[in-house]
Amino acid sequence: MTIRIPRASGARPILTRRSFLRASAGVGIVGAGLVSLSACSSDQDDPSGEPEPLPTELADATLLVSDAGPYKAVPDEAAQADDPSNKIYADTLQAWLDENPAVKLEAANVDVWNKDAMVTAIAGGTAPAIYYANVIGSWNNEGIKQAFAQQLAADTTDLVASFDVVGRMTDTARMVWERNWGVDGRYYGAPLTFSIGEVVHYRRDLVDQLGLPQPELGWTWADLRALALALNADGRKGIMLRTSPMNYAFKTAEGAEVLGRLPNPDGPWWWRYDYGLQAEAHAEAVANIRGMIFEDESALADIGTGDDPWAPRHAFNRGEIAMHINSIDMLLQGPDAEDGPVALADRAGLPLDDVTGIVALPAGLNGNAGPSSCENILQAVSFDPELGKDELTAAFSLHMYMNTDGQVSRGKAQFDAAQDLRSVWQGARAYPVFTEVIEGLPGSLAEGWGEKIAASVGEIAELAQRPDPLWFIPVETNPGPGDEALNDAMTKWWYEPSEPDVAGDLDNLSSVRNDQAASFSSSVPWDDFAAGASEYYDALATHWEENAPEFHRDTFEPWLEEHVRPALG
Amino acid sequence: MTTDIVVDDDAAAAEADTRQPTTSSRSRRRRRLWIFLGPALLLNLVWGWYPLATSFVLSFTDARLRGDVTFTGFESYERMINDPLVADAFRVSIIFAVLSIVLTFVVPIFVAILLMEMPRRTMRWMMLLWFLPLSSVGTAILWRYVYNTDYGLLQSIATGLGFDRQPFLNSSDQVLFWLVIPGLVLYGPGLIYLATLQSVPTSYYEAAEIEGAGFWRKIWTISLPRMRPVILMMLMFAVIGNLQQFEWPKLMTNGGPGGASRTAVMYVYDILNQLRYADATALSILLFVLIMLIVGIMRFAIREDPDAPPRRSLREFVTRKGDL
Amino acid sequence: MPALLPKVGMRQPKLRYSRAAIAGFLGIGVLLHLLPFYYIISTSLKPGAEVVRNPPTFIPSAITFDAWKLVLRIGDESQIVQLVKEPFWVYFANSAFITVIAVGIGLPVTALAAYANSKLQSGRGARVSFLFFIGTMMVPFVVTLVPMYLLTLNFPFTMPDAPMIPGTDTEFPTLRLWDTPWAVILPAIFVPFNFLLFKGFFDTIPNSVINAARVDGGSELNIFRRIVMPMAVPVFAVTAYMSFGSVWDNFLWQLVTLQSPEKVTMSVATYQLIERLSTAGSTGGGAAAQAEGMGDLLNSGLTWNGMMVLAILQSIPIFIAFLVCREYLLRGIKIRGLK
Repeated sequence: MTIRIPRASGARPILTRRSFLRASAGVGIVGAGLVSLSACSSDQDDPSGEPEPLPTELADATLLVSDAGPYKAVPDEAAQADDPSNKIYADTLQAWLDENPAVKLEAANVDVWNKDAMVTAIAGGTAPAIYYANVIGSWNNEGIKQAFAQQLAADTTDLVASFDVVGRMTDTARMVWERNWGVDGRYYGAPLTFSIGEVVHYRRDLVDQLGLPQPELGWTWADLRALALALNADGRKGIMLRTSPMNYAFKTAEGAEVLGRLPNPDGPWWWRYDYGLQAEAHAEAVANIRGMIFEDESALADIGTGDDPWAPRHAFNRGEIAMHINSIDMLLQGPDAEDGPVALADRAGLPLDDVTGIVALPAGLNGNAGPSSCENILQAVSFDPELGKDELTAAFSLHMYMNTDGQVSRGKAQFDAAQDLRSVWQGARAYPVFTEVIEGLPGSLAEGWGEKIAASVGEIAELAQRPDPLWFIPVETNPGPGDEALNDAMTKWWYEPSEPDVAGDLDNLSSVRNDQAASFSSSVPWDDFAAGASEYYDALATHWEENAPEFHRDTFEPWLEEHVRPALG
Repeated sequence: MTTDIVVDDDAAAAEADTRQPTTSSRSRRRRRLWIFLGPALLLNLVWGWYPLATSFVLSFTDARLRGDVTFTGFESYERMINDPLVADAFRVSIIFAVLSIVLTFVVPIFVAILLMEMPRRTMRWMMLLWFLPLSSVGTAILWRYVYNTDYGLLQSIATGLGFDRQPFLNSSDQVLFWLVIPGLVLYGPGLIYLATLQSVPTSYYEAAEIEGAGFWRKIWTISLPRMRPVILMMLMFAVIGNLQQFEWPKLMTNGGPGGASRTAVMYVYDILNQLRYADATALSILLFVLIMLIVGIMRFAIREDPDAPPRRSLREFVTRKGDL
Repeated sequence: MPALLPKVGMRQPKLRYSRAAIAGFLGIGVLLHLLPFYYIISTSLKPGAEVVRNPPTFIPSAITFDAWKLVLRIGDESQIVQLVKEPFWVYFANSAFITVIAVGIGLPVTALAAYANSKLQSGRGARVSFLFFIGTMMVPFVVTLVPMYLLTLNFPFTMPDAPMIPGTDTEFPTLRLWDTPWAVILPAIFVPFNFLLFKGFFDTIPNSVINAARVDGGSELNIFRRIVMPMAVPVFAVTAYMSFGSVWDNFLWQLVTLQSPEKVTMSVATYQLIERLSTAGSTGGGAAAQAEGMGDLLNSGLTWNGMMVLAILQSIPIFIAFLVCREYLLRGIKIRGLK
């Protein structure tokens, strides 16, 4: 226990706007009732326009880093001797620390993967300097922007400019960064890794043996069902289904996410929901997935396994299932693991990319609603909003080093040690964010994992991304309704054995969501919202006109003209 | 919440006077009371009520963890009351609590009573085996595994016995039942009853035996009544604890299918995860009120002092101040 | 000690059958009860692939300690990104210190309050203080998590920075409990549940017993020590055991308040691993990203078997506490037998 010495207010390291908890606690202590709760001032310093030149030498700074990542302190000698990958990491990090002697790293035990713990630590100022931004945003774009709007991360706009982060990124990664991570022109972090997200993993060799055509871009969920049934043989299940891919089948493939949500000029929340408009198409999509589980019995799905990505990976590589829908990272890592992809290829006696194939998620049931619901994902780090200017600069430049020069030298060392390109182009690092890293690393994704896999990855990464309202509409700083009701409807359809009344469920879903939305109010003025929404729908129309002309003509345009345009005025 | 609430009011003090044979001055009695109550009171005030009061204040604002905050009055409460999922979550919590109490509350009481009949050596071992502890998260993980519809143990037992394949946690009609079952394996309550039974003098049973009371009659007239205060407290705890159930549904089903196992506290977590701090607090306060109400009713309805005469009427309850 | 069945005629066949029936009933219960324990242990000894085999095997086809070795090796800094840093015994010692102090101070404090509430107070005073003591358990813990955490940062203020002393430009002096064992111990001393247990038990003691002692001129403290405590040994044992379990099992609070690696507790270490292995609640993207750097662990086929190992590890200290508690419980039975 330490007695904290009172410090003069002028010496506060950084200015924050956290006056509220302070005021409320004051009220709590006196017990005097609810006075002057709104009397909280903002004293955030005004960000300047020009990017500042970087200091040539980093100033004194001590950074608290978590052992759980992204960058733990230098491992000690024993640990380095124990594991060569530790030695490589230590060498990489030490090189930077030697160059910047004023910066010290201090280890802390913070579970950077636990949102509760992280958010609490940020609120009290005990968070580590660098943490995974996706965690505090619950891994969705909206949640991340919300977290930033609530000041749970330091503003890094100037540093992003100073380091030319945007200019150094690959084109695909840059697009995601600008669209999903910019909050009204400002940035609150730095890019870490890129991924093409969820794809269908399937047994290429088995498809060949059956004499079936290989699934390819533009295939439909009905095709997927047929393939699963065909592969469901020899004591092997056709597919193992996780919750979120099944959700995609409803939300994105049939356009429910877009067509079920309408602008609501009456406010105070600018969205309302009507999923019943396309009830028949939705019911068909639901019946297709349920058919795999309950009629064909070609699919495994269990609420206890839920969204666990590891169970399908292990089962697939052991040969117990022929397909699973999972992050691409579940293929491109741990090549030599007991239940890894190499083990499977060895058993089949074929090259890895002749055994395991990947293909983009299917399009809508009848091929409508676009070629793919694959979404390119960018993982990013954020920085403790309490950091002083020098500390923030130090943390940011550490991050940039570890993902550019540091990543290259680490990759080279890994290759020297293992002589396996798969260990270099591995996991979330298989698709680097910065162009210089792709050039600097030995080999390539194709040389490591096989031409066919690399070609599929490239193809999926280049897919046109479906426009998202977040790209166009100003960021909402007020909290809005959650999506539990939507998830409830879906978990019921996927897991409940008894036959659902989908149309009824959809009506119920709309009414629950509308009831919830009615008590929220938006922080964005209607005019700004309407302008952004119009842009969004225009972009969506263009997207579908190019990629799913039939769907655009028969479903989207009529819906847009009837339900959306009038509302937006 | 202020601290003077523990000071006896006049009526209570007068009653205390008549109850206590030794005459002591009011101040001495109060000082003694403070020695007993003081430390616990202070700790519960600082670590219990004070943070709670802070949260309570927050529920009237649009509080976030950082950033400006404005007073919003009852907005969060209105929002929560108008949210259809709140009613669903409360319903799930209440069904869970009722199921859990019906299915798991009585068993440990009887196990404890019967264990006391065993010879010492047998009891030594049976106690060990009956109340073998397992951490709560460990329990949840084990059962999630056992309930798996594909490779779970229970499925293979069910199909082995000739039943159809069972959906277990996948069915919204059954999910709460299966979530309650692990509670039977929990170790706590039986030990408490066992401990209580030991303070019942054997002479009570001997007297009853002389009057010709049999096995069941002794349980009914001696064991259970003597245990009543403890049973009541455990019941109260079971009600409070089960209405706040969170860990098992979270770890086993994450609230599904279709929200059939999303309890009130799980919904609080969901809302907190959306960084809606004030709404989460408001919902918790609503839960707090509900639990307080139920506890209040329980204390009204059930007599706990085994020596007190049975309460006959509402009127008597109102007038009899001494009974809590 | 037998009390329900007649003492006389113990050897009569009818009574023998009754006793055998009770023993049989309890025995079946024991078997059912042991089933999960058997299964958790046997699963932890199965190879990764067998754990998810359909149909499941009741007896492991081959016993392997792979899962145990892998889990126990986690602390060896063998990962690029690690979840636990110190050797497991450090966490164990930290947990033991916190738990022993919290239970050691907590029991007398709570018992005295419960005794006062049960036997010294009456009327509205008793009713109100009862609600005061148990009211705090009616709110889910997460809701008070943030204020409590801020309280440990700047005791006695529930805010991130202490307020200014009016008229000056200095802050109030505050006490920083955060990242010390006391941040865990102090809130764990008074536990409403223990209060309920004690109160329930003291309510079973007839008032006449206490009043008789008062007539003899004993002070309340002496009455408590000489008369009530000996009767309450079994209850103290059970309460000690249960509060040991609850402090030991607590995870989120300890994670938030203890940050220095050398201060981390056992439950934090094991729960972090369990969370990671069970990946409950994390979406696909999240789990894949987590795999970065801990691939060895997650790729090793460590699934249910690894989680069972962690569940067992986490339960062992509770089991030891249970054995101790059982001794005192049985001692209590012996005392009663003499009466």
